[in-house]
Amino acid sequence: MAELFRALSLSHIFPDGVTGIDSISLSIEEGEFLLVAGRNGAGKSLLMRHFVGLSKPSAGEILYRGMPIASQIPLIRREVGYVFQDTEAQVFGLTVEEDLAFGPANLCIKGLKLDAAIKEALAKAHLEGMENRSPGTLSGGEKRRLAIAGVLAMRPRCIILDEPFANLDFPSVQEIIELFSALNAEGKTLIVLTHEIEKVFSLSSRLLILDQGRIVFDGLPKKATRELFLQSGLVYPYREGYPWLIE
Amino acid sequence: MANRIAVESVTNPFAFEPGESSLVMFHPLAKLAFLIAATSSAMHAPLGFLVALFATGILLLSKLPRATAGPFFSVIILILFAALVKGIFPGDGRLFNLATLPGSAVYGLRLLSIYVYSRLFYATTRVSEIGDWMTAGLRSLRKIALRKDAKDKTLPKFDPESPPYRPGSLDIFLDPGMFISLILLFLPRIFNMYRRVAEAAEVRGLSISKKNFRRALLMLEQLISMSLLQSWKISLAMELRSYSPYRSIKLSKFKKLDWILVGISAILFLF
Repeated sequence: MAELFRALSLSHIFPDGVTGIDSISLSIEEGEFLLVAGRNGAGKSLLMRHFVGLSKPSAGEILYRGMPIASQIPLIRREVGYVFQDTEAQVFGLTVEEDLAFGPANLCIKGLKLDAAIKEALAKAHLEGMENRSPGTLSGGEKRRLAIAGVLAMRPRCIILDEPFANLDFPSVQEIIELFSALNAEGKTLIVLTHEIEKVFSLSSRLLILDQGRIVFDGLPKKATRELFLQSGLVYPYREGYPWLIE
Repeated sequence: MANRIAVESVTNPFAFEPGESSLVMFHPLAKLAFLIAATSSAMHAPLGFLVALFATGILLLSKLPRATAGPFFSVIILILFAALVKGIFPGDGRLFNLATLPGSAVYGLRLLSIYVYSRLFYATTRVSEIGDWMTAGLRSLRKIALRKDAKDKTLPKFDPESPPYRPGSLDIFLDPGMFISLILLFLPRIFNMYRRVAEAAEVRGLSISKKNFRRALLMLEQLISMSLLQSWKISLAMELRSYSPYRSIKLSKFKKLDWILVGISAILFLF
């Protein structure tokens, strides 16, 4: 598999001296389903902001397809989709259709190709029939799927999703999980940042646990130990991790 | 969700909600011409024609999915207030001059007609389409200017296949359509933010109904900081989705029906 991202001794120190990311080195390959976990403030979102060029590192470097990201920004914008935790900020079309057209139109896709991209994104996110709805009238789950569909309409290679399950009810979570499964099966690289790891643990091909800006685990999800999950402020994603469950 | 819809309906009179209205099939510019003509006619037409215009508008409005009662009643309250101001204390010792009422009623009907036709326009037209026409117009003007000044190499060359990616540049001014979309996006969001701030203040015992300058200032500060944060997040999201002022735009074409509507608008305008 081809390498998409490579971080080389990446560090981020905030102006007040607090370390956000502490010398992280890692590589992400195409087609991976990477689950990035860690408690609030562990550095998950900050790390991904660096991957899409929204933050500048204090030290170290990030390569996208072997090239420094500073020179690859237009390519990253085309090939890497980013879905925020706050979908309200990400949805800015006056109708669902307009919102979906936003990304492809910026890439100067027009006419039948644009219509096809919108139709495909609508179908993948199960939003058919909602084209003329105002995004303000959608439910939380529908809005989250719209935000993902907005990214899908640009046909990216990789999608980064920041806390995709935040504030969603059970059926909406299920729909999002099904969508992830289908996208990964298509060969799209998925990077999911969450502390609700139990929801996508079984789907992910690789687990990265961050704590205080450092990588404390990077490997196959099933190799992570119970102690590691607990030390990192995460739920143990097996049945024993839920002692309150009714037998 | 019903509550949310009700709130949005009240706060967003620009919402696109065509429902079963057949007006949606007309070209936005033809509808804009009709709106201008209807507005002009509503302000000058004799009473009989005004009543017919208003009745037609109400009939067309009934095809929309849900009546926008909130703004409608606000207009009526505004009209009643205007009527009150016009007739109160006529200066002859009376409290109210009843003779001003018929004139006020006609004036109110004119205002209501304008509201009805404006609502019909916004409910059946994607405003961004009008914006896209503005962007297209500006692009055409720019093309003409570039041709005249072909030797000036400092001007960027427009190439739809590979748009120049220059975040932070002033090229955004070449896209007035995006400005309009963002303004219309922000209006209901600011109203919703205000509602959230007011509710948060209420549950903590800070009633906004009581006149208190300091409290109002605190709320305003909160509202401004929330709006700034929201606009910053939106700008990031736009950048991540490759926003370019050279984006492709979809312009609908004028059909025979649109020309008929323009014709009707011309007659209405002259009436």
